[in-house]
Amino acid sequence: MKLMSLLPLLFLFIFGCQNQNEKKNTNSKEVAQFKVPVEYYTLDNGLKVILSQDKTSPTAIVAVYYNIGFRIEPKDRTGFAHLFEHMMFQGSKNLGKMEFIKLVQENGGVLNGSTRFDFTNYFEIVPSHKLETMLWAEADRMRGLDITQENLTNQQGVVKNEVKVNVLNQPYGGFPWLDMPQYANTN
Amino acid sequence: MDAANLEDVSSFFKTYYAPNNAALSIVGDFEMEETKAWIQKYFGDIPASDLPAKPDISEPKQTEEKTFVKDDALANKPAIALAYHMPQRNSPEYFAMGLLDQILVQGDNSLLAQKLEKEKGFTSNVSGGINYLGNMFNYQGPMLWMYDLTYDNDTSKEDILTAIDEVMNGLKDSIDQAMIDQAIIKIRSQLYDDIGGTFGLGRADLLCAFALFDNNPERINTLEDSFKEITPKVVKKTIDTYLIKTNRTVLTVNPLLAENDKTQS
Repeated sequence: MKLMSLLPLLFLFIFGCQNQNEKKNTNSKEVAQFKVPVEYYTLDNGLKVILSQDKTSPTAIVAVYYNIGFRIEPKDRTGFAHLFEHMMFQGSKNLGKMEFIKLVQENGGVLNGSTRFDFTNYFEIVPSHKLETMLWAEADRMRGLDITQENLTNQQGVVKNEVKVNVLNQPYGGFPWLDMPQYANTN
Repeated sequence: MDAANLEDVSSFFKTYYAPNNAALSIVGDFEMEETKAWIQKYFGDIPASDLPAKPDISEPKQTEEKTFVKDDALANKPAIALAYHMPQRNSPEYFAMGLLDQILVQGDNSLLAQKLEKEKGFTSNVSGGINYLGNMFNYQGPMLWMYDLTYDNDTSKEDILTAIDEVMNGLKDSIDQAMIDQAIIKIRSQLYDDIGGTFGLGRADLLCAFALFDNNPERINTLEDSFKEITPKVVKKTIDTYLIKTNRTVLTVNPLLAENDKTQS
């Protein structure tokens, strides 16, 4: 993308040296717009798929966004969105506890997940030839989690401690990102 | 969350972690047809769920200014945050607020940074934006435009608010096309940073957000145009309608450690 924005500049330098007329022509061109390829379709089961090729480096990003965030979870399910962000790494049909993370890291990739207002997201950045592996793994955990009482109890504790460490036991913890919506909003 | 049992967790998963409540974006170096075949192979037969209606989180119009104080047992100097309810997402006023965010708080040349950091020396950093947990694009529903800063115990809340008033009172008269053009340059620069950084992660993020919330990921390619359509008139109208005290909430942090000599230099 940065390359795209540089191209018109390069033209300017190359042709600008030749003669005044050509330089003028180049200058009168429209400013480069940011454009990326977007291929969009929906599977029969409703999964929205967006593909955007960029071959500037031999890597691929897989991002899965679930339309459930911490302000739209059902009233009697407070905290579930964040709890699930953790449960998604606790094992699925074919991957044991923490094996998802190992799979990405041992293939030279990085990953993360986060819980936001309106969605929970998961992503992996891997060398391109591991794209199929990541699609398999993301599909495996969308298909079903291996939720045991032990995992659940463990992650309930982890999430609660995360809140203590990051919010409750920090000066200005939760200020203003978590506090302000509660004061400013009625919902 | 503590009360959650295995059955609750399993039903939450089946409902919300279903393909019809999700978006998958792939950005990078891949072969189109091969990748489509893999997606069909691995995701194609995951069953959809019956999604319940989303809860109504819409906000009524605020009619008077709200002020709150939060005691902070761990803070040693005061802080203040000011928030305004945002116009509806994707409306002309929403894009105008994107411009006003740039004009008021983004970067060293922003009016509030100039006033509170450079001119008054009240703080070393005014930070703010639309959606503290993302950016002005990746949310759905009500949102606040907000900024915050810490300041010294010698400075009063009134000093800060008076300085802010000096900026806000003159704002409408100072808006012209040149100011908007400058704001668009900053938006453009931030877009390149967001969309291009971390191997294209920001691109994957916007594509998923626009697919989930607008059913239109192509919006990624028209963002800049949406800002360019905003005239000074629309920006002024937005100031009159949204950047007013009746639409504002002021939250200050009361630092309980202010008098603690261990935290004072």
